[in-house]
Amino acid sequence: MPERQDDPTIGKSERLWRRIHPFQINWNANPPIVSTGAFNTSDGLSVSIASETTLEALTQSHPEDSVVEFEVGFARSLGCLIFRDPTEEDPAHALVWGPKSRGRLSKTQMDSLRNAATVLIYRRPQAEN
Amino acid sequence: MSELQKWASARYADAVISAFSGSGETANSCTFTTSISTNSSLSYTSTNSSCWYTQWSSVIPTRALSQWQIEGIKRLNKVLSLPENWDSYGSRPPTQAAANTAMDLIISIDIDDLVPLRVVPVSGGGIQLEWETSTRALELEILDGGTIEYLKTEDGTPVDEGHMHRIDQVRPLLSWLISSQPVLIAA
Repeated sequence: MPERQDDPTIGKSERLWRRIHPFQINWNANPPIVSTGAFNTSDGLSVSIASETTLEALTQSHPEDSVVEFEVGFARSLGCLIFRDPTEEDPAHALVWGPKSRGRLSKTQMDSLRNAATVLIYRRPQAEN
Repeated sequence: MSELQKWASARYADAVISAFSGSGETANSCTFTTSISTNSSLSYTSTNSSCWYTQWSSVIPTRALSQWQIEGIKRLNKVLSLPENWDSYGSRPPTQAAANTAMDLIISIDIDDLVPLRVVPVSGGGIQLEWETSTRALELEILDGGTIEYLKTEDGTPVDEGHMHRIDQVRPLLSWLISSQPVLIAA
């Protein structure tokens, strides 16, 4: 496993976006609540750097997904590393790497990240709950 | 004997729960009814859409389950049907190990009057079980290898987290969750 290093060129006020599958949202709550399970980091939590993409680009191939946002600085305050990991589909792709094995966060850290995240797009599935 | 069979045998002392073959009524409806030695008529269901000539290795007597368990198992079945890349970030579906642990957990709980269970897929092949009361919440995250981590929160604040090494360790966690509410504990 290569050593992971935080990328200081990604500023602390930079926003990170992540798509959320409809199964990871409690649609019976008002407002709907994103599960901490959506912030699990098995081999890094995939996100996109907001300033380097658009919501349209993020969701155009995934019209059923919701989108959440959180700041780099908050993720770092939890002990996470943030670094770029561009892909062909998403050049703005980055990874949030937690302090536990395989880049995971603790359950408490996932809960903190969930509570700090803002939901930018809710997409309630027609057949969900 | 599987954990499911042990559990079923414990609840129906004279019952014989064994593997058998069967065929579904329709391609999408795989409900079987059979009688076991307790003279109880129980309905058994399968999530396998290819019902014909299915080899059954275990059965769930749904009448013996609480409503929250039945709804939870239905939800688990939906989660287990997720395809590759379901999270749009390349995740595999929940693993068999996670699925087995989730099912064992759900059916092992002998609390009938429990708040509804939410079943959430987790990227990387895991499954998360969630319960929430007006003030407390409990999350059990089943990792892809079948191991379990839990988080207890009260009034929105985490109060404890850790690992579970056996599924019977869920009992004190659930007792904590519902301790301020009247509950019916099965004998």
